[in-house]
Order: sequence, then C-alpha cells, then structure tokens
Amino acid sequence: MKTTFLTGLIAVALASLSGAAISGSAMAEGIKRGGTITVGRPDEPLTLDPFIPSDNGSIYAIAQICEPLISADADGTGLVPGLAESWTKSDDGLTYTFTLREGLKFSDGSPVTAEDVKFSLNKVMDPAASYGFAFEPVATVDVVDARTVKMVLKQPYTPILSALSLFSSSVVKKAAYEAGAEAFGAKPVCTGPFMVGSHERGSQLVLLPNPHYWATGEDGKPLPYADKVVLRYMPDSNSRVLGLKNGDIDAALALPLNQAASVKATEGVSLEVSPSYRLDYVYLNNTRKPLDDKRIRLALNYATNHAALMKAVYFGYGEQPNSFMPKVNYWSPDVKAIPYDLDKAAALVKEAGYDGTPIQLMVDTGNAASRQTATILQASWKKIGLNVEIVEFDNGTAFGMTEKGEYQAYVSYITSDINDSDELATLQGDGTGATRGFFSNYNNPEVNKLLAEARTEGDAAKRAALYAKVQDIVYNDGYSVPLNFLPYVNGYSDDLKNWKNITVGWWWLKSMWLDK
Amino acid sequence: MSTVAAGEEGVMAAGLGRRLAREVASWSVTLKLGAVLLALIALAALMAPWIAPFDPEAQDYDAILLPPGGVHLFGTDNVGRDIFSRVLYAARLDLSAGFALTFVPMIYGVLIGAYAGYRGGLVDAVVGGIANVAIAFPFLVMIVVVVAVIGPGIDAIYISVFLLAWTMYARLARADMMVERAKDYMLAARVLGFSTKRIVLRHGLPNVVGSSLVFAMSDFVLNILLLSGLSFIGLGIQPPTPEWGAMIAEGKEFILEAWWISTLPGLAVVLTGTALSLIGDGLARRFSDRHGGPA
Repeated sequence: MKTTFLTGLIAVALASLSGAAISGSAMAEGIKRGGTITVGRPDEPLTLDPFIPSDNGSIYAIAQICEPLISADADGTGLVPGLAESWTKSDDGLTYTFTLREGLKFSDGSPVTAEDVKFSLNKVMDPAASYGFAFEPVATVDVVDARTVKMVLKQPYTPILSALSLFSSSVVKKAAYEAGAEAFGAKPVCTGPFMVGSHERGSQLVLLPNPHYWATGEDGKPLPYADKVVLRYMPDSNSRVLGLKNGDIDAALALPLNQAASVKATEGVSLEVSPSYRLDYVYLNNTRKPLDDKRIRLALNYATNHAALMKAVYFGYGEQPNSFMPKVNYWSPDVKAIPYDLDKAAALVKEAGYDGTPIQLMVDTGNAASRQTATILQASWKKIGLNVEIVEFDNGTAFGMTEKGEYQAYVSYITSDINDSDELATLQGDGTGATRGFFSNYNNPEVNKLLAEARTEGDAAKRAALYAKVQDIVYNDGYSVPLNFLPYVNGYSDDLKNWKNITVGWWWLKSMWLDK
Repeated sequence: MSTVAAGEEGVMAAGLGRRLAREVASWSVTLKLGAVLLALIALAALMAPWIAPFDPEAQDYDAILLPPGGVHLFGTDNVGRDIFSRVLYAARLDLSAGFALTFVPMIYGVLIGAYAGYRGGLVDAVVGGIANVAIAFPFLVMIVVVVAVIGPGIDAIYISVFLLAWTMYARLARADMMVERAKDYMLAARVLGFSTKRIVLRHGLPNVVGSSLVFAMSDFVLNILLLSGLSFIGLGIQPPTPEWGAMIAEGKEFILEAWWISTLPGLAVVLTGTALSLIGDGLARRFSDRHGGPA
C-alpha cells in the first residue's frame, strides 16, 4: 500500500482547515448563532432519497441532509474528507481503503458503521440507479472492520474520488432505508448538518439542526450555526426578487438577469455572481434530419448571435462557450470558440444541400429565458435559409421526448455535480453509454477511445491533454449549440454571512449565520 | 346582424339604404358604442401592414426595453421588437381566430340544435346525448390531448373548440325551436306540405338564431381570452408570432422593470372584450324589443 497524491490532497485539505482555524479564531467572536435562514428557490425537492433524483431541486436539498465519504470543498472546485477521515490507494490503483471518522452518528443518534457505507455504496453503484454510470468500473465494496471499507476496481479509474463526492454517494442508515424507501425519501436518516423538520410539497422544506453532527464551527461548537433553515419554493422569479427586497427571504436564487442590476442597487442586499459548472446549450439530435449532417450543425453554431443573446437574454452575465460541456476542472481555454459568421454559415447550408426539412426548436413552457433564446436563434437561423419552428412543451414532456430521442433541437442546459470533467465528458461525449451521448446520438469512436484512456490515466497533466482533445473534437463536430457558461446569479441579504453558491450548485448552509 | 332582416331581402332593394339607416337609428347607445369600438379595432387590425411602424418580428438589439414614447409608441421588448406593431399584428390573429372559433361552431351548432328541436323524438335524444358527452368533457383535458397528438399551435385550439363548443349553440337553438314548432305559422307551413328542410331553414331558423347571436358575443370574448390564456401557458400560438396572450406571458418576467411589455397587449384584450360585451348587451335588448320578450 502506498499513499500517493491522495495524502497530498489530505495534507492540503488539512492545511486549509488549520488555516481556517487560525483565521477563524480571530473571527470566531463575531459569529452569531441561532435564527432562521430562509432561501427562496425556483425549484423544490421531489424526493430526499439520495439514490433516486437527478433534478437540482432535490439534489441541493439532499446535500444539506446527507453526506458522502468525500465532500466537495468550500467553493466546490476541490475535494475534502467527508465521512471518511482518510483513504489510501494501492500501487496498482485498483484498491481504495477508506477509514471513517471516529464516533460518527446518524441524525437519530445511532452509530455509523462500515455496513451502512457498504449498503449505501451498493445502492449508488446499481447500474439502474441514476448515477450508476459513474461507478461502472467498481467491482466490489467490502467491510474490513467497523470503521474501514475497501473498494476494489475492475480497472484504474481516476475520477472515482470525485464520483464518491456525489450527493448520490451519501451514506444512509441501512436499517432505516430498508424499513421503507418511500418513508426514507420523506425523512432521510443521514449524517448531514440538517435533518427534515417538515416538508410541504409546493411550499417549503423546513430543516432543523442535526444534534449529532460531527463538524464544529469556527467558534468550537458543533455546526450548523442557524437554528432553522427554510427552503421556500418560489417558482415566480418576480416573487423571489420582491421577497428579497422586502426582507421575507435572506437569499433569492436564480435571479431574473434583467433585475440583477436593480438587486445590486438595493440597500441591504448584495448580488452574487459565482462561477458554475453549468452550460446553457441547445441539445441537437445528431441522427435526425437535417441535423444528421455535421455541416448543418456547424452552420447553426456559426449563425448563433452570441452578442445578441448576451445582451437581450443574459444581460451581460456569462461568456461565450468554447466547449460542449461546462467549465469543469479540465476545461481547456485553447479551443477556439466558433465565431458569428453568417456568410460561412450560409455557405455550409448550401454545401450540405439543405432541402427545407423543418427544424423544430423545443422550449419549456413558461421558461421566459428559453423562449427568448429560441426567438433570437430562430431569427438568425432563418437568415441562413433554415426553416426553424419554435414549439413549447411543458418541461416533463420536453425532457421525456428528448430522452426518447423524439426531438430535433431543445433549448436547455446541463450542470455537473462533481468537480471532475469525466462525469459530463463521458455522459455527453460517449455515444455508447446508456444515454447515447446525453440524448444527442453523437457517437465518435475516436472520442470514446480518448475518454476511456482519460478515465484510467493517473497523471493530471496527461488527463488534461486528453480532455482538451475531446473538447476540441466534440465541440467542432457540432455536437450541440453551446450558448453560455452561465454563472450563478443570486441575491442575498447583507445580514446573511458566508453565503456562497458553490460551483457544483448548492450552498453550505451549515457554515452560514445571521447577523441580526 | 343582417340575418335578422334576411327574410325580406329583395323585396325593396332600393329602400335598403334607408332601412339600414333606420335599423342603426333604432340601436341602443351600448350597441352603437360597441360597434364603433369593434369597427375601429378591426380597422386597425386590417390596416396593420400600413399603420405598423416596424416589422413585428424584427429584432433590434440596440433598442431593447425602451419605454413607451418617441419612435416606439408602446416601447420595445427585451429583444428590441416594437410593441405597438406587435399589438396591431396580434389583433389580426386574435380577431380572426376569435371570429372563427365563435362562428364556425355556431353555424353547425344552431343547425343541429334547430333540427333536433324540430324533429324531437329519437333524433333529439341522440343529439342531446352527444351534446351532453361533449359538455361533460373538460376543455383543458381535450386541448392537452390534442396538443399531445398534433403538437401545440392554433390548429390544436381549432380542433378542440370545434369538437366541443357547438353544444351551447345547439342547446339554445333546440330550446327555441321547441317553442317555435308549436306556433301557428309552423303548423301552416307543415299543412302546406313544405319539406322539413324548408321549414327548419326558412321559417324556424330566423326566429331561433337571435339568442345564439347574443351568446356568440360573450363567446367571442371568451374565445379571445381562451386563445390568449392558452398562449400564455404555451399551448397556443408559438413564438415569434405576435399574439396578445403570448405577449403578456413574454413580459411577465419584466413586469417590475418594463410594465409596458405585458400591460399594453393586456389593455388591447380588455378593450376588445369591452366592445364585444357592449355589442352583446345591445343585441340582447334589440332582440327583446323586436319579439316583445326575452331573447
């Protein structure tokens, strides 16, 4: 056994922890405990069972209640020990051994055992589970002793630690889950800083502190600082803005971008623009006429007026993407973004011998931004001679049609739940996967090969080069029409301290406190 | 409205102008007001290509979210389209679609109802049964089913409305016809050996269409609201075609900052609705005057 760069990672993590402790002791006096933090969200959890959902409404709530062995760090770009205090990797890279923290307890007070960890990991590894694909190379998980778990891989798989930081890799109490998955999904028994107080569907989720939580705050007492957290479901964006301005809520997520400036100018509230692992893009079905022709797909890209989108839809927030996937850790700045060039686009359409087959551009009903995006895209795509129709479907229907491949183009987005490029590069780029290149039907043997290589490569620099190559090929194959690397744009009260939307999407509510 | 006088047509062609003037003179103030208002709106819609200062779908990214006034009378939306031009063009679509959605089902609804009311018996029972099924069918469910089959758009609305909306007219015409059937003039027509077709169409129909016409005016308003409502939730007119409800929906996101995007098309809906309600009200009075009883 040898501890390789992982120990390095722990060392860095510990260093930053002790760094926080030093600066913390100076700050600790300022921290106020108690109070209720209310967050206005555009979405709500459908379930709190970590093994089921793939919607952000559920995921970000689960991240407050359940915890995996390894955790995303304070801004989401790195990893820190979670329930596992340390881990080692064998020389051949095939065996990982995790040691749990001492004295870990579930929110009901019962101890966390290696059995619970094994049970949970087997749940997430199930190929039928929503994130089973991220654990495909894992062979077995075994209990060594009460605090030690061993994971054996079929082949080297570098992103495994990031995969273990997924919300879906959370450790649940085996006995509680087996007693009834449905009841568990309503009130999970996990180890996170919060537990469910009450949940009214369509209204709000109330979270109360877990009295048995293991981590301590900067003042030396157990986290979280707040007495209560309310995640309020406010689908109407104007209500969120008004709620924030008049003090009903402490943070308003996903501000309508046209109102960001007015929120910024409001006394007592601040505007947050944080980097995200999110990409807004138009899904293209690479096998449906006329999009089965690469030249047509590229023409769509050349005829996408990014300046107009940035001005009319995004109000200056974000930047033109140069990739088919979000800016995750191995994003390469060296790939050249496709410029807005109508002449070139028109030439491509002509070259492809376009026969007038209509392109149906699908948007979610009620999503104003998507609708505006589609309107702008349609205007410039018509200029190059393409016949584009906009159709609206409710989100469920639209995504259902996308999943079945019964669509041509769909204005939507994707987010990464982990900080390793592999999750999305594989999901989107690998046409042999269960989602057929995330419903694009894109399948390029060269890309599949590069991805397989990148997954087993241990050296970070070599992996970066491989993902850069994948980015270059897939992007320039016209896999999709990337629209914007959209940052998180939220508003929060000046009384709410430590607010941050981390890159993987959620917020560490446990370390936030109210100065009022 | 000329349907009422249709029976006497041709007898005094020369006096037509005078008769029309007399007819209009007998209108109540509400009817006149409503007719003028609707005529103005219809005229504006008809003349849209000449009145509208901009192409309703032209986007100008250098003129986004401009408030009303100046070159853009009603301001611009967030992709720089001229709201005034869009409201005018939307009037074309809303009025013509509202007209078709109201009067197409009215025509066969009244015919079916009048025939069933005249014949009675088995025919009446069958028509009544079908009408009851159609009435029991929730409209929104219908439209969702049709949208699922043929996709969202105006065609889905036409199909759903044409399938369900005739029932109200059929019921009204049937009830009136059952009353008319027993009257002496109908008996006389039967004794003279006229065909059922002639009795229903020439003798019965002019006397049973009044209540349907009055109802059609409120139905017209409701159909415009329906069209706008469905477009608002995305089941109706698809962007970028201007439509009042769709425009209101598009402006919803901007209501705190740019009230004009939603409010001005909303005002157009209110104005049209008012005009039609006034006409409906006036017609109801007109018919009750003529027949000396409730229409």
